[in-house]
Amino acid sequence: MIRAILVLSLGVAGFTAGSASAQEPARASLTVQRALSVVAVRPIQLSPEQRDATLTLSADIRPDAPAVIHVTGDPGRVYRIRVPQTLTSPEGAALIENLRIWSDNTGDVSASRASRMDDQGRDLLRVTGLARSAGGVGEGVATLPFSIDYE
Amino acid sequence: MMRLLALLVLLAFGGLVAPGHALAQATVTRSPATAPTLGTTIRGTSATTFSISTSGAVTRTSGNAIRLSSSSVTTPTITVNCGLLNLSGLCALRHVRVTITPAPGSGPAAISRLRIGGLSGATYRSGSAPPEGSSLSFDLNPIGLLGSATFHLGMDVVLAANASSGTYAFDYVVTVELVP
Repeated sequence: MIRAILVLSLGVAGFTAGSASAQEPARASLTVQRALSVVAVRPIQLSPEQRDATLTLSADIRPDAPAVIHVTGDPGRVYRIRVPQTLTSPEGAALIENLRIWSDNTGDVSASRASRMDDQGRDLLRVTGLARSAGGVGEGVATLPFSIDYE
Repeated sequence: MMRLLALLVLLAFGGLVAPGHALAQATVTRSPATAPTLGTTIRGTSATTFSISTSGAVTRTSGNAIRLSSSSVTTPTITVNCGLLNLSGLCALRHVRVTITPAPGSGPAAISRLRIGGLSGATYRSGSAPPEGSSLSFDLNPIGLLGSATFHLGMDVVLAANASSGTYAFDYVVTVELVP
């Protein structure tokens, strides 16, 4: 009798089985951005005699010309500039100090070290500073570490 | 004992007439809400495929886009159950069919391949996990009254060449139904 009731209950329930389904929409994501690029268009030239490069535009590379750096990235994005305030030799002597940076888009960013890409995702930076003649720098060549990253 | 049987009978017949419970239904949930999240990716000049394993490891299998992070991602955990004492359709005693399909989208990222792994709380009706594919459909053996079946979902994601900057979502749908 008990078995009969149990079988009956399961049988009736099974008879009503439908084909209803449950759906769960789900989502994945990723963020796309343009690569930042840095191209040194012109190297910095600091004359030990003059010591202070001036901002000028010229077809020639003047002995006191600032470095010209072309950067690209996402249009309109703010980016941060990473460059040391002072470039020192392996011996610890200052080679270039008081670095200053001008952006075509933002102006003087020497203090803020941040600028913004234009509508085309471009900016042009000019970097200069004071050359230290002490420590036997003379006509030596130094490499200025320069990088940018999205803010 | 008789009272318990009577209760079972009432529950079974109650399921026949109760509004909203006329049909058997398994339920499916996923966690977390958005997964996997690949994070920031530098667009490439060619279409790029990132392959995400069921454990969350990400591998670039083609193209030249760059994912900035090399860390694993959290893969979605899909949970299937029948609810407590869902006797109206013998949900707990029937095979469950799971179907996973990418949702059509218009963004530059899309799911091209799906894979599942880490099944627990149930077994595959076929005896083994289904092969990878652009969509998946497989049956689970009955999962019982109190249990639930969980598995992890991995996928291949294709990012179009020269994709515009921005955050993009790409959807997929998990459907469960009782096998007739």
